Amino acid sequence: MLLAYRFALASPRVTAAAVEATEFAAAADRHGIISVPAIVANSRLAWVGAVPEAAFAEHLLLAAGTARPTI
Amino acid sequence: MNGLGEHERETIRDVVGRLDHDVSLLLELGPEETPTTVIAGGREIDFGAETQALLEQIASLSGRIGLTVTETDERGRWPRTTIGGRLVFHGLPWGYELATLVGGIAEAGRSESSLSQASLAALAGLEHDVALEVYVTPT
Repeated sequence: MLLAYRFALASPRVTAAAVEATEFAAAADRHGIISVPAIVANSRLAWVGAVPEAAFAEHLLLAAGTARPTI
Repeated sequence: MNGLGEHERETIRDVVGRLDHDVSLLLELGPEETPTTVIAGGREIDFGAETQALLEQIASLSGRIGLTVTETDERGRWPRTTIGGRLVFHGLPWGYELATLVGGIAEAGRSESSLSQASLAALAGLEHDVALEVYVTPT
């Protein structure tokens, strides 16, 4: 979660919100989330699991439609 | 959930004692869009009241942290905490997520990004806005 916050602070194009999945189970269900951390980007489930910073950046660019997958 | 323990208080005091600049906390309270009942310690958790008590304790540990609390009648994802006007936490940041909240305050209070130069360069190439929601749990 902290990586999402760091990216949001570093770019006006990125916003980041943590959502407590137990408390907001209906929202988690809407996205089909069954494990955490689960990252929803622009209302779509983008990836699941903690990743290193470089991979986070790549996932973020993919979610934004700025980059093509390299893996 | 009860108040912070002495060890937690000291750990958080150490973190927030190193803020480079002031950090605002805005707590918004109201009726939840999908009310959830959670029992802990034999009692039902009042997420809004617990969050407010937690934030008041954290704010008391640093003169650089300002806390504002507002309340609405509209249903929504409350409690919502906004850190430094930019970072949002929906819900009660308990358990492991207390570290997320405190880490967010620490990041918002930094003068320089803690991201690598490679990540900053990647961000500079962003052509579209991205709204991230990270679903987390306290355990």
